[in-house]
Amino acid sequence: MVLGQIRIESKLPFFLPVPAIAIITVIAIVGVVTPSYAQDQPYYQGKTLTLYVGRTPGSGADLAARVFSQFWSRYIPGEPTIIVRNLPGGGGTRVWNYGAEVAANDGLHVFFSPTNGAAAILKEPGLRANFSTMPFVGGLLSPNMAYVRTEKVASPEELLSAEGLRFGGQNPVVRFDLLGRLALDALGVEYQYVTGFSGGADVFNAVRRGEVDIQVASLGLYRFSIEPTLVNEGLAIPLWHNPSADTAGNVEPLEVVSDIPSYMEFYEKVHGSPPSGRIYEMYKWILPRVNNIVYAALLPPETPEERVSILRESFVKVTEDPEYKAEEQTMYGFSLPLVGAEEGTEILRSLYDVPEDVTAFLEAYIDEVR
Amino acid sequence: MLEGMLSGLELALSWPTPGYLMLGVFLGIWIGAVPGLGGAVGLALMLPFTFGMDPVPAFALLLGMYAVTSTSDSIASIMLGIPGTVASQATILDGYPLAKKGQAARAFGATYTVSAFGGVLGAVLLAVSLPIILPVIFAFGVPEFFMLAVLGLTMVGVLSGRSLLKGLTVALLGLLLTTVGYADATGVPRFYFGVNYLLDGVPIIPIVLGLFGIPELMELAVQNTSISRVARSEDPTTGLLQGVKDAFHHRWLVLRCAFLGTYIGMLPGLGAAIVDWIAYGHAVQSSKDKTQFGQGDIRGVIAPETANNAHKAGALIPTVAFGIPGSIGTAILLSALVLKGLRPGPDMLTVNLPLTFSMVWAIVIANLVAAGLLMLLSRHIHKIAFLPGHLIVPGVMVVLLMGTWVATNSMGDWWTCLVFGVLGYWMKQGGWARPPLILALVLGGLMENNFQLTTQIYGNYAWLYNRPVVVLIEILIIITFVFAIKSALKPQGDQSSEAGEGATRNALISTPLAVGLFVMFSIGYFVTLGFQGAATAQFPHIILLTALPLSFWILVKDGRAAWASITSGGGMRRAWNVAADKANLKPSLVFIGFILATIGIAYLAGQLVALPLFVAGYLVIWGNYKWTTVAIYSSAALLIVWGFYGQLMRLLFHPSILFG
Repeated sequence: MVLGQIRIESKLPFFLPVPAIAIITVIAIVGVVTPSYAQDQPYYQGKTLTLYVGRTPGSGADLAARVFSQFWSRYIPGEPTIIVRNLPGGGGTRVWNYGAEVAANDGLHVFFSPTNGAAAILKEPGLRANFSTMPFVGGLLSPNMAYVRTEKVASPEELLSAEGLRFGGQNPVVRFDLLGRLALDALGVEYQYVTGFSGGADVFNAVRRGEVDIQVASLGLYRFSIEPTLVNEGLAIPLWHNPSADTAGNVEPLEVVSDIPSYMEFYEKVHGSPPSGRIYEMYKWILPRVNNIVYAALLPPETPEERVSILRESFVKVTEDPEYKAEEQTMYGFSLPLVGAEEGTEILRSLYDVPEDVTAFLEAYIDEVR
Repeated sequence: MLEGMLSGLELALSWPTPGYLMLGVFLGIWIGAVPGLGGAVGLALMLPFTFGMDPVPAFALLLGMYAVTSTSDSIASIMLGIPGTVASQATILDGYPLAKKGQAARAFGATYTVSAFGGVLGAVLLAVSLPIILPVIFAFGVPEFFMLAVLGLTMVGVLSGRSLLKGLTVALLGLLLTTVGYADATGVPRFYFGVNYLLDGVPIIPIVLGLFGIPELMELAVQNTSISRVARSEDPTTGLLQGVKDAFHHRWLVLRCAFLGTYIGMLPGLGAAIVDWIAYGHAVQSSKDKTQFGQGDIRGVIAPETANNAHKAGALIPTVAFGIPGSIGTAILLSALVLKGLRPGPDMLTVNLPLTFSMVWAIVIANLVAAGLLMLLSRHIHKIAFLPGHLIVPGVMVVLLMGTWVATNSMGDWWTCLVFGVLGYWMKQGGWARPPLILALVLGGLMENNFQLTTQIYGNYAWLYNRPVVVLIEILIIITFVFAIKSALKPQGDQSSEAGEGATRNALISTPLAVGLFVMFSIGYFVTLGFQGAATAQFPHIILLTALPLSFWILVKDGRAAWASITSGGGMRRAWNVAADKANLKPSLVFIGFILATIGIAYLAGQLVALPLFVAGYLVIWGNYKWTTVAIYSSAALLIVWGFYGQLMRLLFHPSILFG
């Protein structure tokens, strides 16, 4: 074929159909085509259950979902194929909106992502889903803790009188920042809040460089990075961990962080009396709502009850599976505590029943650092 | 150290590790070649398959794949003018013009040679730098990162084509785009206008693919020419060998870019998207003869392709040694480390040094193998440059739209791609260089974030003069700035040339864009007045206050030029017709109509219907192809969309009105 003075090929090169042939071959090999199944078989047999994660691949939530999905199928009657799909966007709200508004409520679509209770309480833009209408399958609590550089604070008692402390965080609505500020304010610590780091590892790096002094970090980051490089080298000391709490105000230290005192224990140690006051009450109120359910598995509204039950039971069984526990040990150095259906449902319901004075306090508290 | 290196090599060569490494290389070549995918997507796909594997073969598979995507991504960059991944954006500036000149094989020869060099040199530099890495990395605090971003932005000077003024304005537009969505420091959403899609900011992939891909496809469709504008004359082997010779001829540039790539890679947060632009800018700045850049200068291919492969090795260090991933790709690698029970930290440079070195060796071997394989394949791939445009456009459009879809699986991705496609076409025809927009888009977040952190931690000014590394970077910025001004003031050589970014002169097309930008910046300014908190408003405020006078200046300049062309062209209607014909406006609008129709059909019946229909419609209406060709081509498109993107990549399609 000749176009003007240019001679051009008129046939497709031989290698162009290769991708298409490769795809057919691979699909045929992995057997994507769904097999037929009989009526009396369990509902999930031969089906594909999709686990949606509202974060990018490689994130903590993505990793937690992918590892959980490796074990979940064996405890669901019919052993469905489980696939993980990432649906990031909207500051983590898109996945929940999709779950509440678009996904079929047939029990084959599970939304496994951080709920961010603070966004629901403060009615942050973008979140249209109402968590309390979405059946709660199960949740995982991701423990976290606070530590400080020894250059400024050599012992826990010195925290109260230390000067020039900087608390590094991501943004005022993130749970680590919100809980960290409330905890430090309730203690009466003088500090500067430095916000805008892109993640926990980024704050940790700034601590190492001496740009900030205090961080509230996930226990995983603490065990893998902070403890060996800062604490064991005498460059930092752990302060407290944020304990587990329920909506009634009962607080319980976490066993997996037994080497670090809970915030309440820490407060009593440095102040000589149990914590109290308006800011502490706020800390205790918000604790279960933003910190207990870090990874929640929810279903679209009005998913049939029997399928909800199947998934709830199997969720619990995974968290008891020795192989899964071993995998968690490898990944985090500990097991993520389970949040049961009853507790999770109650926490999510309470996000929509917030006293006006609490909302007003939190809004003003966040606005003052924006 | 030597013992660690040898033990690492032994691990990397123990069966079945080499087998997994080769599998990774094959997958990486494929994933890098498809626009919009890239190493991070490949890693996310492969990660679940490594759950049950031992660490060494698992990392051989992952790194084999990850390392070579920035080699094969040059295929789309050179052949189509569409960046295969974010790491090869700068390659299109000279790679595609080379393909247009019929020298694709030469570009491939040079690319694969320097990619192999870059990968190997990066790994070697990494190995020799291990003992001194810690203090180097910790010398870079938030002020240094901010200043590095500013230094990167000075590359606008060499990427602006004929008009530095337009280049700066486009860069400011790019910076403004990075302020869309939640502000990092305050969590307050900006410029999202109630659209949830914009809350996380505008994703870069749809912008890049739209800005560069759609105008090129439009040109191919409208002109129905082959990519190469000249006849095939030489044996591909000759071209490939010429490229290899070019690489050796410019060996010092290769070495410098390998340094740049590796050490920028070591600084967490400065991703692959930045390194290729910096290397390209360096190639231009360090060259005596700059006239051919943007028109097919082989150095414009050599520099970014060396740096982006070297970067992969460098980026491994903050990930394994400090647990600080600088990108999504390295975040997934970090996940893989954690899944294998390995603790990122100093142990990886002491107790687990052989494992770390096995990773380095995996990168070295993968780069060499991929370069060899792609060199062999290039003999066939370069033929695409001589195919009729109508045969290329529909297939590439499908891949481009699905590559865009990978960003967030949302129709917002397609709209973003289309909007920036139209903008890209407009900029190209109006003489506005496009690369500054991408450069600013890549650097904007880094600039704002580190500036906010710097002022919080170090106060307003003292850090500007009491930190040695900051002062050093400031000197580099001043030197770059002076050269940019000198270059801008120098009389242009070939005024008649219309080649290269931002070289076209069409005032009647450019003026409406200047008006549009001025209006947009004005509205933006008033919107920022309502932002809550100083930290939320500060950065967009500075951008807009700079952009407003610049865009007004362009408006006046172009407005005068437009008025001159109207008066000399015999009135508005005649002058406009001439300008529109020069820009192929009418057929280009029809092409945009095709894309709009495809989006409409996707809403109605889903992508599995819309994309094959686009292929069929295009081939019948634009290409006049026979029904057999149409049937085969659109069936293949359906299979690729359903099979590759739907089944293998597990992408979520848009729920259609008709079929759910």
